Amino acid sequence: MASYILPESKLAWVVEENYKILRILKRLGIMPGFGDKSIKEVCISNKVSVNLFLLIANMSLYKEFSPDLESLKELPTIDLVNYLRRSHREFIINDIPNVENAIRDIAVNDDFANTHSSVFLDFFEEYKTELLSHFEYEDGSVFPYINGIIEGKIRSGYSIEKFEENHTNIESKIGDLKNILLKYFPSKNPHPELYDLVEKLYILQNEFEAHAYLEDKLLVPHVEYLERINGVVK
Amino acid sequence: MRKSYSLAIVEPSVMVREGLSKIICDFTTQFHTIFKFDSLEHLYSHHWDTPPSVLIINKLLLIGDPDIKKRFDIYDPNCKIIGLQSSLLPTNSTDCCEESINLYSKPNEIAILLRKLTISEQEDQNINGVSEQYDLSEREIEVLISVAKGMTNKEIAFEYNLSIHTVMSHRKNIAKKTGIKSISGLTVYALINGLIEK
Ligand SMILES: [Fe+2]
Ligand SMILES: [Fe+2]
Repeated sequence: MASYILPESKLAWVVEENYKILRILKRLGIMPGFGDKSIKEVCISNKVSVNLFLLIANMSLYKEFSPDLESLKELPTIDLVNYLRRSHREFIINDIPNVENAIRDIAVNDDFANTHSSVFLDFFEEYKTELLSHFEYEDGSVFPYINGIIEGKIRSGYSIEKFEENHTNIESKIGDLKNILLKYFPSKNPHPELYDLVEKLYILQNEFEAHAYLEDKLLVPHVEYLERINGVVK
Repeated sequence: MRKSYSLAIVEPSVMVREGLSKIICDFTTQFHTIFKFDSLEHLYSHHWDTPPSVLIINKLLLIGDPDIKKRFDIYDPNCKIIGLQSSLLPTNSTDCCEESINLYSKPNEIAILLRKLTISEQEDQNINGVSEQYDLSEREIEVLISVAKGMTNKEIAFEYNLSIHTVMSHRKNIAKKTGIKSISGLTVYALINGLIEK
């Protein structure tokens, strides 16, 4: 039975329990050197909403965790949007190029796979284009729409429901890529690089899943609430 | 576990032998070893730890020894024999070859043929409950090829005279067995396995 993270949990222990929280600390801009402080104390000294921290951390680490209505209402919208934006930037600047370079190295440096290397690269390029346009749509249209609601500018004909309906799954092709590499990659080398890459893909798949879960189950209901209180007509 | 097979090629021309072996390496994944011989004498005198499941043999060599199937039964009665036609001359059709290829066969045709031969053997074993099948069935391969070519479920159903529901259940099984869900991922699978050409 998983025990959720609480305001009084000591941050250092939480990290010890689950190192995946490190990426969350990075994105929220929490400074290292937090000693034995509790989550609540660390959040206050870093000017991060305790509510936001707990929702992001619990939802990212525990798939079954769902937010209660009160905490949804009280979310600092801008901070949540910034967290998601920062995640996108991290995916675009670090993770995707990392995977791309690894695939290139593996595909090009294997004479057995050579016949197929362009096939792998094309598959990844296509996926990368999909990912980039997914992030660009959210950064360029969805998030500005949310900012607009807060600033009292209401765009007619759009609502977060439209986003929810068209929100595509970005992690399933990572699964395809993992399986192609592990099960069907026609190599005659033992390829330590390939196993390193597959490990990275597992981590990234996890990140994408957690990210989409935040968007669907935290951002969308929160914005629906904002739309209600700001009188957005759908 | 994915079953692996071995294969033997009997072909006097080193160019043809090596070329065929390279194609099989590049376009298939089920063979762990490929044995190469330049004559029947060398094939017969080889000591087998695990006899090959598939034998590709130049048809001209069979003129002097049409009974190779019987001789090979000692090693493996399930061994499949493919005749390699290296000349344009008509060869007698009474030899023991179950299938044949020629110098102009495309790599993907060879790969499909080899898959067919090795898979049906595996399916036989499934009926006897010996091993669980993880590889795709022949029908699933047909559906996969169609998907990779960009056909819709409706078009596939029409082509093979199946219901759309059946096509969808084949697709679900393909995704489950391969772990690949997207069309572009399945296309990569089909290309790697030589089921389609780029
Ligand atoms: Fe996103
Ligand atoms: Fe998204």
